[in-house]
Amino acid sequence: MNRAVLRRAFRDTRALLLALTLVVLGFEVLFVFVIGELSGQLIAFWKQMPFVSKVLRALVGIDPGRDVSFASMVAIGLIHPFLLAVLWTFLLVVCSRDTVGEIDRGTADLLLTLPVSRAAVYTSTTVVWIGAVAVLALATWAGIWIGGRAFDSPEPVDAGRYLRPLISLVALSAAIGCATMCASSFLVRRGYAIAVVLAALLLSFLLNFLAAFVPLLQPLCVLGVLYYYRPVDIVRDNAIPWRDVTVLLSSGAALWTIGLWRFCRRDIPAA
Amino acid sequence: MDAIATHDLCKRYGSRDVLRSVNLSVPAGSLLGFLGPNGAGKTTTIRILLGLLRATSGRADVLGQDAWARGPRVRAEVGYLPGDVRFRDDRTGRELLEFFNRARGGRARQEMTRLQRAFDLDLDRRVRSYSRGMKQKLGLIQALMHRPRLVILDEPTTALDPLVRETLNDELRRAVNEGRTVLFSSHTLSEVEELCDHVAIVRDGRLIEQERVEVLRARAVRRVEITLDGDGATRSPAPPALVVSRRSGAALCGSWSGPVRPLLDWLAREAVRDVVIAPPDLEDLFLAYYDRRGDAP
Repeated sequence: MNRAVLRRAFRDTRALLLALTLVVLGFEVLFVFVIGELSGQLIAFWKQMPFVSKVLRALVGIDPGRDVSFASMVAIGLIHPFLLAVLWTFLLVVCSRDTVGEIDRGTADLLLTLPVSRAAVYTSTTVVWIGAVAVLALATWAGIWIGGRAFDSPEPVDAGRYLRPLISLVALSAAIGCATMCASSFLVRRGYAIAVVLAALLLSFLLNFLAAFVPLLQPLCVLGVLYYYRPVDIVRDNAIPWRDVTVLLSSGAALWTIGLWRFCRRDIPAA
Repeated sequence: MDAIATHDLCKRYGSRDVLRSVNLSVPAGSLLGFLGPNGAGKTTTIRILLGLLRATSGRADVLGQDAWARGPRVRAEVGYLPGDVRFRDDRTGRELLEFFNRARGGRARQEMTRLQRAFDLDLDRRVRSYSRGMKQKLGLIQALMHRPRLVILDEPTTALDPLVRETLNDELRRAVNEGRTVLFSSHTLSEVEELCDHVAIVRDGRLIEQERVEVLRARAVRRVEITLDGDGATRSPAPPALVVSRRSGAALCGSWSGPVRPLLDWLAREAVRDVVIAPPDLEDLFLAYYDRRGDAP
């Protein structure tokens, strides 16, 4: 690692991180409020509509006919497409910035001719985005905690139960961030790197969704990253799915290492 | 010791050879002009020296160390200006220079201030508001401010006005006087001839010449005009090195290559009314090097 590069990466990240932290926090507070107000009506509505149950199971992993509770419904806020979109945007922007972003912009020539190894650039960037992901994960929890205290709800919100899914959320984000860094190490255009990772994420999302309707697709779900992120189950069972976390972290570590290997050896094309 | 030494350096992209067995050696303390037409392989060579590209085969040593394997250590003593320098334009010039300074150990602030004054650059504006020439000045300051043992400049005079060019030349001469080495890439002969003491020429990925400027100058052709007395008849045959291209009465026009002593000796024996011997024309020599039709002038 290099202190100057680390400091620069942090400086480049802090404004976006601050904005998205507030967005995530606000979203979770609002989500707890809405669920507190509407949970009874929503459960009754979902139980009347079998098709909606299937869609919900596919989208957020909750089964209204079986295990719906206020606590589980609050956990939907941790897998809501809005939250995922915010996290993905952050990861795609930050993890592609100091590798392929510098090359694409033509500024890599100056950065990579400093007396700093490419490995130091890569790891310094990683340290910053991993730290930022932890902040965003804590913001989701803080939003639930604030929402639970600020608004009346059918049941008290036990914020402690929502700490466990954070481990899974950080592991998911780490896997996506590492995949972005890996793609960025192979490509020369930042847009291509972002497009590749985004396509893989959307495919994973689509696969999970369609598998609820097409049983033939279910064996393929294990290939998608979202298969390993089930915060509703974690809150319901009050247990961390270590197997899923391990799969996410180990695949992330493998992609990160491949990316590092490639970044340290690749040619840097002229601007 | 050579500041730069490459050994059979090759770079290939797919089936295209961009560098073919380049053996370049730049003596420490010299100011070498690295000449060649566009696409000759100058920038590729420089990028290998800086560890931005990996050689397909061969080896590049910079300041006595392998440029790829010892990259960060080597680059601590190298200053580099890319041919098309680009900066993060959401920062001020000062913020960028502070970052470069910190990454290099933070000992360049005094020199940074001196260079800022020498190049007359406002560092407190955002780079996005800089003109091309100002960006080039910023690039030069970052390349020179840590007083590197080796300065590599890839076509540095692009977008610089004549006054700034003169400032740059002064800075480079000063660096060489302090025993540092400069590699100055260009495709303009006149600036290299004015500044450099050594020249290397690449063409089609090959190093076709590397020599001291004065040696090349001695090889260059001079334009000669001689007017003889009377009807123009000579007492003795003209030396073979004098190539007469036009003869009109007593006036001869032609070219002379090599040392001028034999020409002067011959003229002393003849009845000469007037003579013009122009300085050696390196331009012609270099055009001959660049010309695909001939391997040597």
